Amino acid sequence: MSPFNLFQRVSKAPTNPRAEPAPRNFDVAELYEGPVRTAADAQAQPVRLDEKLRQAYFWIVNNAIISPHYDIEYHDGPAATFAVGDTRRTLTLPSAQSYSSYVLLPLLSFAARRKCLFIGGPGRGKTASAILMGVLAGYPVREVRRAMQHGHPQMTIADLLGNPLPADLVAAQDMGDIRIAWRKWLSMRVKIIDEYNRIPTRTQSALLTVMGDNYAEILNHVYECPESAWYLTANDDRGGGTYQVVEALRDRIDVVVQALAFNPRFLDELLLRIEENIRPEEVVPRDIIFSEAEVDRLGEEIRAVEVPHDVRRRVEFFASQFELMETAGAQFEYLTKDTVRLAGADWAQATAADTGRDRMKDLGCQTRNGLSVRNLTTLLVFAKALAYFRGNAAATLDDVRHILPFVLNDKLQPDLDAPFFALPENAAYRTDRLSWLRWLFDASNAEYDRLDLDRNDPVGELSAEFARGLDGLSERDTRARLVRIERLIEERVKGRKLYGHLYDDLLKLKYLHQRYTNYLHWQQAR
Amino acid sequence: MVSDALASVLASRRTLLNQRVAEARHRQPSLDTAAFGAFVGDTLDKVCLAVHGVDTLATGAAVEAAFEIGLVLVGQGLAGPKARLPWVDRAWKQLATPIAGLVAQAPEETLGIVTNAVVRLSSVRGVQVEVWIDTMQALAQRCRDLDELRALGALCAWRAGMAHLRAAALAQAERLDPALASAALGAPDTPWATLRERLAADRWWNPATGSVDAQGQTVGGFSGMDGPFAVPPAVRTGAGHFVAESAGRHYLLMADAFGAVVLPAAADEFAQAGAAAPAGVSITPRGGSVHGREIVFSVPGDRLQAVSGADSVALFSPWSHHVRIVPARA
Repeated sequence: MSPFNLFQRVSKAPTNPRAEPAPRNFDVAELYEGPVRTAADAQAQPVRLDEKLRQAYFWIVNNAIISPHYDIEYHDGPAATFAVGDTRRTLTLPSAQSYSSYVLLPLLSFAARRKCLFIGGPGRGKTASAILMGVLAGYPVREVRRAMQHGHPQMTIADLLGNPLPADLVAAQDMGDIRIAWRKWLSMRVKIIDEYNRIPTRTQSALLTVMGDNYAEILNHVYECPESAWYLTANDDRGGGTYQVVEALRDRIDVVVQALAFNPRFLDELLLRIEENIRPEEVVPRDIIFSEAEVDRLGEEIRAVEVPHDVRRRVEFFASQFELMETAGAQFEYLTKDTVRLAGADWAQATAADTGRDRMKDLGCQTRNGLSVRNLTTLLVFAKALAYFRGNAAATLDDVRHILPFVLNDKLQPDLDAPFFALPENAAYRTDRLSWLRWLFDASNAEYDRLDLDRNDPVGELSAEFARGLDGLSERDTRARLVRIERLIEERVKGRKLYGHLYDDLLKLKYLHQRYTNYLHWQQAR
Repeated sequence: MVSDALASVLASRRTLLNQRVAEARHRQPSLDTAAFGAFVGDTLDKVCLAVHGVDTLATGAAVEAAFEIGLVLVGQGLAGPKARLPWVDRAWKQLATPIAGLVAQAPEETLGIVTNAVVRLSSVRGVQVEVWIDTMQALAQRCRDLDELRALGALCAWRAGMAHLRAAALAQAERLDPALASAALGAPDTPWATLRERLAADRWWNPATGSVDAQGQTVGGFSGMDGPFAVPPAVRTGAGHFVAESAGRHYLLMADAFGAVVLPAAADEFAQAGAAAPAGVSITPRGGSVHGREIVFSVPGDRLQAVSGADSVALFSPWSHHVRIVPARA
């Protein structure tokens, strides 16, 4: 290979160097690694998949996406910060390897085979980025372009999924005799839907089945799709499309990334592309293309990343903040925002009645809904994926903090009438949802620290005790545990104020109480 | 003024080479074409002449490969008259004749091996790159293929001070003619089998002098003066090496008769390393005494400390950015 090849250079491993405790076996091969690519490089051990993923990331930010914005900031020690402008917004220079969400999130979606929505104005490279992901999966650029589905107001289910063969339609005596010409894109491992909010509602429902359940159905014929990464694009995700996106379809999208503005300081890079007639997606180096087996392995390795107990607890605590609405129901289990929503009750009326809490302090008062199981699953998957991408075996709180706003971007709906948003210092959060979500997580962590829940978590202790199993537990011990649960509930409800995390703790205690009660009955009946 | 051989190749491949320069300028707008011109006229010309001397037909391909590599190196400030370090130009010039046959056979690979080696050697503090180049210049002609060139390069790198390559280089030596391996380590008259046995047994025995230098090696230095340590390091002992901590960063220290290196290490390695005071070592006004041998290590103050590994002792002080590593036995 030529030692000099424009646009074909991939960042040299390790892309996220760190001193790791490894067996100290030095190899003379290190002597011959350097600026000139030799045959030894080609024969070198295949790079680890997390390393390859980082190489793909760096190739994209260095060669494909011009003017990346490093908005996912990691720090290793103190970082320089500057207060800028009349609003004194903070410009931070991260002290550790930081990332551009616009490149990183689609790449993590590719690795974990999830669904990513690009939003942003026209001409910002949303479609080009999606095509890059298709090329990373090993498809020729032309095939990726042809397989891309372009949303338009006349798009039918047949346009999207395929057609019954006309001859069969005439001759068939049975539905099973009708053969279907399925669209090619259904079989691809990277699926791209351009301008998905221009698809008519009925066709969106067909798309929902493919996205949600991974199969397509026409005339009782079913096509099972392979596990895929999905990329959807929209110029405006807040109702600016031709059709309102059905909520279930929107809910299937795992992360939302925004294409940020082009920095004209990078105009020379743009000029270079024009002069050299280069389209990045056409010159993706072979070294960063993933085979199907490699993407399978990526998924397995990502799932194997640990989410430590202390990180998990903070996610639990955060998620507990939002669902409670004390005035929504009469029975304890139904004191939720979902109860109000399902009843179709007036939101303003429901919140006006909720006067028992400090609406400035309670994070739950800032949202109109809580988090779904799907949201939490996605959050954990992407936290693992981010940790994996950074070469770590366990996710950190920072990983969760960085990924959370992109996962919950259009899932956790702010209540813009809440007193929090009326404060002048919080005005920016009305429009900048990512920063608001990050603020929410930080505030939740601060509350978690204030309550000292890492060291003082009696509900956690009872749960851990229960998790050890009931085998051999005597009747006397069971009764003792029931008494402890009752005493703890008594102690916790003394304060009278009900907050989201307390509500979930009480429900957990009720659950434990019920399990022990059932066990006690079983023991007595033996 | 370039040689006729180079002028002829440049003329015959003018379009292709001009295109390479244009591509390089796009890639690196700061590429200094004047510096590259000087590199071609000086360094590359030596390679061209050397190859022309052994295989006229291979000259064109060799020049083309050297030209492309040169663009990368000049662009990165590694070669040419404005290079940050002199080693690439010096290696190409000094080794052009000894490795001309290999360059004629595999120009990219051969020049890549030499270039990468000197760049790597120059990145490790304390390694004597000039020793590597001089030793290679004397012996590289005896290499029959690239495997032997790599093996010889590894032995010479060890001899130039890359102490951490000791075991790997000894293994590589088995690929070489025994006489060449002995010569590479500075003992051409000693049979390789004897040499290998002695080297494997004692890291501090120097084949060139046939003795052990009890004063060992000094490593480290203040980061403000191009050393690795921001503050005087604390040193502990690991398996076959020492581990140091300085200002929250960790380092691996390895030393033998040929030199000493400081490499990155992990906090875990430092935590797991031992810190027991060695037997037979005492601190003296001039430095230390290791089994009765006086070690001269003049550091200010009186808080010199010592830790001992299997075959080495490290002396360090909270008042010095340097560490002295000496043989544990005479």
